[in-house]
Amino acid sequence: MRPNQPKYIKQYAVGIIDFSSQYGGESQRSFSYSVSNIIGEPKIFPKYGDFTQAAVMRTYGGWWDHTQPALRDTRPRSLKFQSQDYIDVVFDKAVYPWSIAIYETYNPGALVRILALCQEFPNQKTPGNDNQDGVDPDICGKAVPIPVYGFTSWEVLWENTNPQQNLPREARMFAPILREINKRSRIIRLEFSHSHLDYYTELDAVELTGLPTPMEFRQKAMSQRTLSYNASSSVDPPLEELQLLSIARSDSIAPSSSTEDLAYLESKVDYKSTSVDGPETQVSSGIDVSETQLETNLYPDGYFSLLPPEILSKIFNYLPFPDFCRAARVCHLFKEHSYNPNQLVHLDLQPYWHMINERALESIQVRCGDEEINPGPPVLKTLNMKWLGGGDIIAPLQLDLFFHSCNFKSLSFLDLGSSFCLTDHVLATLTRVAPMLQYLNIESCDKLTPQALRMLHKMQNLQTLNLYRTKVDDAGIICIIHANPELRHLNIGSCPMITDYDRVLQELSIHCKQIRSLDTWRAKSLTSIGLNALTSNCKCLEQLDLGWCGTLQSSSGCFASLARNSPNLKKLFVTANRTISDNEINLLAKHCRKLRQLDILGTRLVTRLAIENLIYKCPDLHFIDLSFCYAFPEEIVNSLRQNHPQIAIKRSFQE
Amino acid sequence: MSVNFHSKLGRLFTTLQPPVFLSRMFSVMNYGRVVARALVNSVCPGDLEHIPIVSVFPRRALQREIHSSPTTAPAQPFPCRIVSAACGFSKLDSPSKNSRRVPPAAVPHLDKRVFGDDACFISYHKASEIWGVADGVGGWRAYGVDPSLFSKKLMDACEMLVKTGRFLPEQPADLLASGYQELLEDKKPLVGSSTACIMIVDKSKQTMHTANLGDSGFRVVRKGEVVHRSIEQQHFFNTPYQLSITPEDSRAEMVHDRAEDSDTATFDLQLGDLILTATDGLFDNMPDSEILKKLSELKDNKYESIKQTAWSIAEHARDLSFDPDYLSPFAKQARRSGMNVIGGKPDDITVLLSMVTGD
Repeated sequence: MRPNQPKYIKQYAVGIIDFSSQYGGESQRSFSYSVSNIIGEPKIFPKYGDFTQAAVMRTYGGWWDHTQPALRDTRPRSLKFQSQDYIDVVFDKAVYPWSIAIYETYNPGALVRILALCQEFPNQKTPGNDNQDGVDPDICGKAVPIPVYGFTSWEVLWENTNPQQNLPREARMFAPILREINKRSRIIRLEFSHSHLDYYTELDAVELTGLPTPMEFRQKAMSQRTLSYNASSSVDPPLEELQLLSIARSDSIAPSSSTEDLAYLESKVDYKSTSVDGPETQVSSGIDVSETQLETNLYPDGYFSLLPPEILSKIFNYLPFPDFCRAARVCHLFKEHSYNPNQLVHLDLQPYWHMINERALESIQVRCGDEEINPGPPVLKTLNMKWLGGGDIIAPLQLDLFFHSCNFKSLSFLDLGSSFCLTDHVLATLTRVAPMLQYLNIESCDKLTPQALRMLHKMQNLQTLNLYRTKVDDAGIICIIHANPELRHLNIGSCPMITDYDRVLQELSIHCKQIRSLDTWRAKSLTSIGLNALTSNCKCLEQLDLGWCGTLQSSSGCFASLARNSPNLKKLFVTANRTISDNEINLLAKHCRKLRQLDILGTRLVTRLAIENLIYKCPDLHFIDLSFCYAFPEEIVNSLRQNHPQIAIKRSFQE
Repeated sequence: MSVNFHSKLGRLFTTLQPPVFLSRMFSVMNYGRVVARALVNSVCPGDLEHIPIVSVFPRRALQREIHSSPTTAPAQPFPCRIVSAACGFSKLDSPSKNSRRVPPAAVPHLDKRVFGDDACFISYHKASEIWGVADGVGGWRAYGVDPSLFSKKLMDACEMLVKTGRFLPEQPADLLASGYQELLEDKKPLVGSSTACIMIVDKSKQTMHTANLGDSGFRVVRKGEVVHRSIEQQHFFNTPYQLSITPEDSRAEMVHDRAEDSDTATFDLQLGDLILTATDGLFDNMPDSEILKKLSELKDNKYESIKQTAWSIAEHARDLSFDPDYLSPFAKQARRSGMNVIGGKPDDITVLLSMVTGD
C-alpha cells in the first residue's frame, strides 16, 4: 500500500441523462414524482411512504403489460434479462466505482442491474497528478465529456437475476457489492424490474463512492481479469464483447469446450477439404485453437455436414444469440448457417443492448439480410431493439445505415423504445424501408422532433403504436390516425406537445373505430367532449387509462356514458380524478361486467358500499387501487382484502 | 453526434423554459363569494376572548425560531449578503404563564416552520435568496380540514422548487403558481386555502422581486423609514385573496384567486436595508410606527441580533393581539367597514426579518 492512499470520493448524482419512464408529468417546472428527484442528497430517507419528492417510475407489478404482444424470439437467452426500466444518472467526478448506494424509500427491491458507462475522457486523462491525495480540487462544473465512438462501453457492475420478494416495508439504503473494473466512470445506469413488486418503488437518492486513481492491488486483480474489452487491441470487438457474456455465465457452452468436441469428432469423419479463409482465422483470435487449426483445415465441417440442413438449422435455433453469432468462427458450414438470414426471423436484441456497439450492429446487419450480401426474399418479422444505443454507444448514422441495408420489407414488429440513437433522420429512413409495420414502439425517444413524428403517417398498417413521452404534436398524431384506420392500441400518454386531446380523441373515434386500448395518461387538455366522442363511436374499448386527466369532470356525465357504451371494458384507470363518485362506480358495476382492473386513486367521494357492489357484480375483477381514497382507511381495506382474497387491493400511504 | 449527447446532458443545467401556465382549471372556477377566514375567525365585537376555534392540534409550544441561512449559504462574490431569521407564535400560545412552561419537546407535531396555520420557508439557489410566508385560511376548520396543511405544503413545494432550481428570480409569481400546481400533482387530495408572499432577492443585482397574494406582506425599512411595502389584497373585509383547492362535492362558492393575480413588484435594495416579511397576524396588530420602533433597537448585522429583534417584534405583536382594549390596525379597519370593534386580533404570527449586508 502506498503511504498516501487516495481518498474515496463520495458523491450524489448531479443529473440525469436518460430514463425510460416516470410517474410524474413531463413539465420541467414540476418535481412531483419526477425521476429527476433522484438528483442530490436524500430528502425523504429514512421515512417510508409514497412521497411527491421521490423518483417514481411508471409501472409496477404485472398490471401494465397486457397490450404487449408476446415477443416471438424463442431463442434461449444466455442470461436472464428482466429489466423493465432504467435511469442513467451522472456524477460530477469520474471515479473507479467502489460502491453504489441506492436510497429506496418505498417498496424496495426493484434494482436488478447496475452498469457503468466507461469512456475515454480526453480532458481527464491525468487524474490527481497535481494533488497528492488524489482529490481534484475542482469539484463542480466539470465539462461534460465528449464521447468517442468505439472508446465507450458499458460494464456490468452488479446484477441480481433473482430479485427478492417481500422485503420488509421500510426505507433502506441498498449498496450491493460491485464487480471491480479498471475503468473510471461517472455515468451509471440503474436497471429496475417491477414485476415482483406490490406497488410503485420510490427512490430518494443514489450515491457513488470510488477512487479517483486505481489502487495497486486493484490493478493486480484486474490484470488477471482478461475479459474486459479493450478496443485498441482486439481484432473483432463485437464478437469479443458477445463472448464476454457467455463466459461470464456458466450455463452456456464455453467456446473452448465446443472446439474440443469438434476436434474429437474430426478424427472420425471424412469431409471435403476446403481451407478456412483468412478473416475467419483472425476472428477466432480470442480462442486458443492453434493446435486444432491443422486438423480443421483437413476436415473443416466435422460431422455436421452429414446432418440435413433443416436439422442443423433447428439446432442453431437453440443457441443464444451471442453463441449463435460466435458459431460462425467454427467452420464454413457453421458460418453459412450463422449468416443465413432465415435463421433470424424473430430477433430480440434488448437483452444485449449494452453489448451492441457500432461494430456489433454492423455484424448483425450482415446477418439480418443485408440486401447486397444476401439477396433474397425478406424474412425478418420481428425486431426488438429497445434501449439500443444507450449512453450514445451507437451513432445515429450507424443505425440509419442499419435500417438502410437490412431488408425490412416483411418486418411487422419493431420496438425502438427508449432508443438513444433514434433521431429524425433515422425515423425518416424507417418510414421508407418498413412499410408493413404493424407494431411500433418509440416511447421515450425524446430526440425526435414533432416534424419528424409526422412522417409516421407514411405507415398505413399500424395496429399498435406507442408514443408515450414523445414530442408528437396535434398535427402529427391526427395525420397518423388518418393514415392508420386499423389502429387497435394507442399510447399517447405524457405527450406534452399535444395541446388538444379532445380533437385527437374525436379524430380517433371517427377513423379508428376498432380501437381497443388507449392510454392518455396525464392528458391535461382532455375534457368530456373528447371522451364522449370516443365512447359513443368506439364500442370495442377494452383498456382505457385516463390517469391524471384532471380536467375530466364526472358531473359532465362522461364517465357515465363511458360505462354505458363500453360493455367490453376490462381495464379503467382514472388515477387522481377527484370527481369519481359512487354514481360512476355503480354504473360501472351495472354495465361493465367484464371489468378486471380499476384505479380510482385519490377520490374522496367513493364509499365502501359502491366498491362492494362492484366486486359483487364484476366476477373477473382482480385489481383495485384505492390509494388516498378517504373512505378507505387501512382497516376497511384490510377487511375488504380478507373478504375478497382474489382481488389485489392497493392502498398507498404518505406518513 | 457528440453534440446530441452534449445537448441532452446540457438540458439539465440550462434555465427553465418559459412557463406553461397553470392549466385551464382556473377558468372553470368562479370568482365569487366566499367562505373565508371571516367564517370562523371573524370578530365578535367585544368578545375576543372566546373565539370558537376548533383545533386539531394540541396547544403548541410558546415560541420557537426556525433555521437561518447565513451559515449555510456558500460565500460567493456577490455585492451583498442576506441574513435572515424567522420566528412566530401560534394563536393558541396565549401569553399566560402556563403555556410558557410547556416544553417544546413534549409537543407533538413539532415543526419548526409552522406556527399555527402559518408556514414559512427560507432557502437559496445560486445568486438568489428566497423566502416566503403563507397563512392557511382558518375557515376550513368548519369542514374538518386542518388549515395548516395547505400552507405548509405550499411552502414545502416552493422550497423544493427553489432547491431544484425550478424558478426564475424575476418571476416570484411563477414560483407561487408552480408551488400551487405541485399541490394538485400530489396523489393525496388536499383541501384548503392560503394567502402567500414570496420574496426573491437577486444578490448579483441587489434587486428584490416580490409577489404577494392576500393580506400577508412585507416592509422594506431603510434608515428608519418604510421605503417599500406590499399592497394588501382583499375581496372584502377580512377575506383576503387566496390560493385554494376546494372539495369536489362542495356546493358553496369559494374564493379562487390565481397566483398570477398576486401583487408583484421589483425593488432595488441598498446595503443596510431591513426586509420584514410577515403574516397578517403582525400587521393587523402592530402599526408601522411600532414596528419601526422595534427595528431601531437592532444593534448590528449579526444573525443573533436579527433573530432577537424578530423575536421581540413577534412577541410584542402577540401581546398586543391579546389586549382587549387596544385599538389595533385591524380594529381600525373593521371600524371603517362599519363594525364596532376594539382590541387586538389573536392570530398566528410569523415574522421573518432579513437584512441586506455588505460583508
